[in-house]
Amino acid sequence: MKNKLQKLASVARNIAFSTKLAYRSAPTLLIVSSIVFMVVSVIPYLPLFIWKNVVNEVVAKFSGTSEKTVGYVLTLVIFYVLSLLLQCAVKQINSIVTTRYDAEIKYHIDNFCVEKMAKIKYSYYDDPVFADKMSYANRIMYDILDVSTVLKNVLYSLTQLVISGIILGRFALWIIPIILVLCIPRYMIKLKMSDEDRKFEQKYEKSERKRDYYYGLFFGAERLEIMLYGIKDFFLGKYNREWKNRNDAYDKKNLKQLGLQILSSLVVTVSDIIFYIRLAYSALKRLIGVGDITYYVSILSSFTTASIDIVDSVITLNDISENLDYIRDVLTLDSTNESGGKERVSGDEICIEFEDVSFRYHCSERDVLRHCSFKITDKEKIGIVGENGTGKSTILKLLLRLYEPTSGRILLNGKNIAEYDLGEYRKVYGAMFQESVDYSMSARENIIISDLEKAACENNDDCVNEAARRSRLGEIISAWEGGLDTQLTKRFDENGRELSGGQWKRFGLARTYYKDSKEILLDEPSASLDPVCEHEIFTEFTEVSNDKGAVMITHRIFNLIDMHRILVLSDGRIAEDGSHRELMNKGGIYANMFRLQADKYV
Amino acid sequence: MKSKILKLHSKAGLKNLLGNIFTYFSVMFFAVFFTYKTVQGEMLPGTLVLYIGLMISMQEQVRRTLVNNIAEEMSYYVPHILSFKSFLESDNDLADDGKLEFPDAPEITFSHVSFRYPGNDAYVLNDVSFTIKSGMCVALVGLNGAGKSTLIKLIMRIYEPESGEILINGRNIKEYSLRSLRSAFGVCFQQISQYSVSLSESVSIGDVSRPTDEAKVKEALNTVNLSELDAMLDKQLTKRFEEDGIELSGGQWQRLALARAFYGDHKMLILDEPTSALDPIAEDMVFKSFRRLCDGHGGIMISHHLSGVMSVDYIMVLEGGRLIESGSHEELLKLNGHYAMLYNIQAEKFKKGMAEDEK
Repeated sequence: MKNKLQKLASVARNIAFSTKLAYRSAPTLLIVSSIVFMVVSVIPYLPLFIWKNVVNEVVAKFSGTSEKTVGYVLTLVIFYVLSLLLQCAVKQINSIVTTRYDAEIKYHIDNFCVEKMAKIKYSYYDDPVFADKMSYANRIMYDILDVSTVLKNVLYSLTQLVISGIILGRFALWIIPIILVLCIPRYMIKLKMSDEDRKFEQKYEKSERKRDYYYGLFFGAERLEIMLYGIKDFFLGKYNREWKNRNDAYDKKNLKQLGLQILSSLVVTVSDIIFYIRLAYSALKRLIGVGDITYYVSILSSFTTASIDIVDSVITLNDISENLDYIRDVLTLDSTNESGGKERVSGDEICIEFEDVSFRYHCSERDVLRHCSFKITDKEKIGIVGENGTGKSTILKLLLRLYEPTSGRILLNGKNIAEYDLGEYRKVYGAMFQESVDYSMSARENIIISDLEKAACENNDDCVNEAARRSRLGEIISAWEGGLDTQLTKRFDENGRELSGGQWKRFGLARTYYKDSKEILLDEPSASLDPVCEHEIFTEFTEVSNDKGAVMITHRIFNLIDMHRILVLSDGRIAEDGSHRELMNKGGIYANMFRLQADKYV
Repeated sequence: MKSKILKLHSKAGLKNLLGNIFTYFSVMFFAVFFTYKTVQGEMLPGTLVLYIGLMISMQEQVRRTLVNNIAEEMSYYVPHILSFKSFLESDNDLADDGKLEFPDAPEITFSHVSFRYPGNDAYVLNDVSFTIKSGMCVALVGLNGAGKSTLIKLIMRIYEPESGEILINGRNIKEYSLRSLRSAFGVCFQQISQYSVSLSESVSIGDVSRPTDEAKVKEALNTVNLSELDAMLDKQLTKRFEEDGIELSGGQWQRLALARAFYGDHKMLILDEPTSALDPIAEDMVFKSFRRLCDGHGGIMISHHLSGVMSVDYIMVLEGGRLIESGSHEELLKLNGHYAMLYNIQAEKFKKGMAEDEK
């Protein structure tokens, strides 16, 4: 019982949530569409009522018992057809208003979600469990919209129920409780089936994701390998197995439900049969006219339909409510801007300090960083090296406050970085990560998005060209007909340019250089570049970072010789810390790595 | 934009309404006519009820199916059907009509091969000729966009040359069965696919001609220094479907892709930038494994990391789609051309680094 109440409360909360959202998004449209909808639910009774009179009058006239004129009967017929036309027109107006209302709500839900996703903590993004949750929430987002549709249906059915109930009640009040009581077994059967359906969906949710995944492989970059390894059947087999398992279970479930379904329909027809017998009896006794028979049959069917619809709507609402719980879960995840202080970064000098920092990713059992302590003074250039998976990139992510240290502190100019206003704090850094980000926009936009404030203040392309030149893109871009206005990728523009991995990398660099930051953070800037390009970019990097601080991660250690200091990470700890010469003299991990390569050249 | 949509809706709605008025008026005409007849005693009331009911339901059906939906739905679905049809009619992969089995000791010859990507004017490969003797370990070197990856794709017949011929042991590559050709190579591409399958499947899809051999999977993992994963062969990769799935680092993924190429009995190895995400120690190990596995088989490797390149038998330098230099490391250094330039850029830095060390 307590469970049931809790559930009821959660359904109510979800209804309130989506109604509030709908009202905030489109107040006028919501009101207009509700009014139109009310009219739609009342109007069908008009032609029904007129029709009853038409038939009664025609029969009376035919048997010669009527005193009304022929003109009166014909006028009734005209009004009957006109009322049908009116009903049809109102329905059409309703469909226009509803389509428009749906579009408006979708527009607002999308905006609402994008705002939320942009603010959500970064750590949620690379946690697979949350990623799943978010993708599922994204898929069912429009269920918010369905709530108002279902609510409208309930409203519609309630109106029908009251009107037809009144008309029916005046003829035979006793039938109403019979119909309502007969709805109870239907409700229970339907509820059981819907529970089974939901359980089925949940059980095969993963199977569906698997199918999407295997199917998507044939349309993605994996195509090449599928072709070469001849592994089409390997993935297609997995895909087909998922379908087969699901379909077998689906058939089994449906077969089981078929009996219940027929039973639930049969139950409702019992009241129909009783009522028809009663009608025929009254008509034979001449208590009612012929027109009344068709009239009451229609009224009865609309009453029964309305009560069934209410039952079904309640079940649907129950279903949707479960999904809405999910959506609200995601929407209430922590936002980044909720944490952090208000301090601003003051002074020109930048001094960064890691104080005994340890870090462990959410859901992981292993510390990626263990008790790391080091200091970066103003305008100091630092290289970070280490084997794969030793936590190099994590240091940059912690520095950018994408994550918070599990223990220990990170200080900027002596203050914990958590005390700074996040937006202000991030302005200190220009960062480029390992995975290059490719935007389907113009070349200019691809560069300036790192600092739109700066771009808005400028009326020429000098800085953009400068950034392009420094990242060795100048010649490439000027060779294009459209110059900086050239669209990148062919996604939206047939004349768009498709770039190589190395070229995208250079756009990432140009972005980093364009932003006026005091500290540059680079993660593997040269991974797919040829030796000439790599050399040029590192030469330029030394120049650009002359008046800035820089932290660079790279496996290409010969590029780090001129760095002020090199940090060597091993197993999450700072194993070595010093200049190239110091580390070489030490003869540790760094010297080992360096000699391993250098011996081949020298 | 929004008001435009609304206008469009209203316009369509108005048209519908006009159509309805027209049909309802014709219904009205007949309804009045039949009612008049009935009242005059020429028709039975039951017939009248039947006629009017039929007329109304008929006009509704006609309007719904013929006028509105079919026209609207056709205009919506026909373009979809057409584009799907053209998708089905698009060219298939090359027909596998070659008869020859790929030889155990292949000698690959390019004879004046030129190639352009469909829809592009610029040649990616331009009049390239060379021979790779059987069992030879070859490296392709050159700037980004020089045509190295394309050359590999031509060997594996993902594309066909625009002009010129590719010969295997003197016979045109087209005479070999496509299946036998492609399964002859153990390949690792630049772009690494991270499959959400089990670890052992992820390695064994490198050779699906035989059932998975666990010992060989372990051996391949060992070759790329991933033996720490030996105990997890049945675990799923990534947490996409399983909460206890294994997540790998970028370097581990790259080594796994290499293990796939090393798994199974391939006649030749082809590696495209196999070490871009690897640290110097892992890189050295990969180059050594490549050299070792190439012995007796032969292989082709693309790399910007010249430290790994210098140990191969034969280096080919591509620039702007042309083969400009080829020979052993020593020969090319003596030639003092493009390769020597690339090499010196890297060597200078190491020399500087070592010199500082000695100071």
